[in-house]
Amino acid sequence: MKLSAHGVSYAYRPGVPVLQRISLELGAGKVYFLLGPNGSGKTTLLECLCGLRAPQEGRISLGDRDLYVLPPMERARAIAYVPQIHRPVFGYRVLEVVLMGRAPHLGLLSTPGRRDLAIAFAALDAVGLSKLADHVYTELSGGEMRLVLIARGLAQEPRFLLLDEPDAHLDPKHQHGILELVRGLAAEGLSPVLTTHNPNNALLYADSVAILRRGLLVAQGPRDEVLTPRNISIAYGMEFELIGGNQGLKAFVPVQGRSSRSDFGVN
Amino acid sequence: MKQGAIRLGLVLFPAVAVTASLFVGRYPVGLQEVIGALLPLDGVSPTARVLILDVRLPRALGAALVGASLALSGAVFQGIFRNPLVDSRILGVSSGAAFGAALALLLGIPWYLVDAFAFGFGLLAVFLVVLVARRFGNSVLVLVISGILVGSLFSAFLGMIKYVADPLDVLPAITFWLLGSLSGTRWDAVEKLLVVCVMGAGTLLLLRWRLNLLTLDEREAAALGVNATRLRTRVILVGTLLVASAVSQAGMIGWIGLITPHAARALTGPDHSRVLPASMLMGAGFLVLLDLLSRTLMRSEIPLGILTGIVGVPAFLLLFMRHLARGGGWR
Repeated sequence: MKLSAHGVSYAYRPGVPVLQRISLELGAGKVYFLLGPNGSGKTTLLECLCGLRAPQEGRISLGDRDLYVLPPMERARAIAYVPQIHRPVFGYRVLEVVLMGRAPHLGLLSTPGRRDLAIAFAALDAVGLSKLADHVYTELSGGEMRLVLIARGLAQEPRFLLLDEPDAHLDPKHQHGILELVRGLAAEGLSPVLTTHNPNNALLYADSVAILRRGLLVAQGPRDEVLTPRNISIAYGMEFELIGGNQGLKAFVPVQGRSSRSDFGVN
Repeated sequence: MKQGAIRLGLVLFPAVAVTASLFVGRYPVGLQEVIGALLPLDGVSPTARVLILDVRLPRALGAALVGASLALSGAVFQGIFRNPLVDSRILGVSSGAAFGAALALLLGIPWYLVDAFAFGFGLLAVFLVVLVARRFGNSVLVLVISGILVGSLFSAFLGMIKYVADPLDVLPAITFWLLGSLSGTRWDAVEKLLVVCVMGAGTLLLLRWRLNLLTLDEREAAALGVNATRLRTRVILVGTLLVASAVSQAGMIGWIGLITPHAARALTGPDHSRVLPASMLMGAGFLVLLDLLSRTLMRSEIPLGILTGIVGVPAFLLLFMRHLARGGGWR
């Protein structure tokens, strides 16, 4: 099943478009990165793709059906949304938070049963947090919270897992732990979609990339075609160089950073 | 094991409180008389029988139902407003009910219709809040703001009524009503309270797990396929029925709806599947005990609303200190 945007435009205020005529196609167990600087519209695009915002123009379809005429429960069984960290008011246990992911599979008056519990435990196991099942969610570290939210998304048993900046505000080890995990999920047939503003994380973990700048698509397609110094430089409005190439290891480095360092040496 | 003990204690608490209130009071009765009146056996004086069966028992049961209704509505309101500091006052239902009762007293409407006025205006206030909120996008913030506005408006109307009321008879009646009391609760009142409490509690307990989802951020709830606005509006209406029924029978009784859910959460954790029944049982037990105190501490009865305030503030402080000592994070 494909999740696709066809000429999607979105504006919070009339006349100030945040997204303009975006078309993309997601699916087939690939890791898809939405890359762009702050304010490029990538989070808005992600929310449109989750069905949380209806675009003013264009449409988003899941398979051959329009995402916005799909009943919300049915949509939530196909698409899971993993927000950035949040601190809920009440200190639910980790397992209770993950169980909330079963909501689209349960009727209005039902409560989670044995099967839902098993699925929630399996989801916690998949993110490696089985040991924390009984801990209080609000007392976890930022990295652990994010993993719990991913587990909640997995408990929805979706086809698409949409993650809003899963690498933000985390140290390198936790960033790479989460991105590694997401790649593993794609290998099992899930289609993850991630927003990030770090081009090097896309370089390491993406199959496909769409680059956004001021609501417009700069480029999209397979990682190696899209992640060029030219595209990255256009997207971020500063010059980047792609260094390395040894054993496939590459990284984007801003030219400015290196030049200012040499200046520093002279002074 | 520990959970089992907590459950047993929660069930026993209101039962023990109601039983105790059959014995305690101005007119002392013994075990023999209570058992004799309840079973019923011969050899109990008619006075004792009437006192136990038609005065103390309905009053204790009324207190239990009012306490359960207030605590339950407090628990769901705190959940759906994602704010542990709200109770029924947040939506203006109490102000509306107070205005309704005062208006009825001012107009000299028969006393048995005062409760109906309180009930009607309590519902009207929340209806206005929901209407205003719907006009402006229905978020939690909009609901809270419209609740404050509508509540303030009814408070102003109430002030107006107090100002024009006859200071010799009507004003004292209004003031006394507002202070809250369960004296004079008879079986017909218990029946009314019971019907609303069973319907309201039944509905909310069926929705108990869904209520957890309403404590999430609105976008997250939507992403889980939950129509938060629709569910929240329904829950608000049920909670309002509970509060309006309690307030119209017992007057303004604060603090039970605010504190009890905290005490319940401290025992059971925040999952509504456990918080709702625990809040109801604790609220019932608390109010029966407080009502018992209100009619025995002094020669004349202390209005219940005053007593819940005097006991409620230190209790809240205690819970808050505990919360701070644990390093924040409402549980």
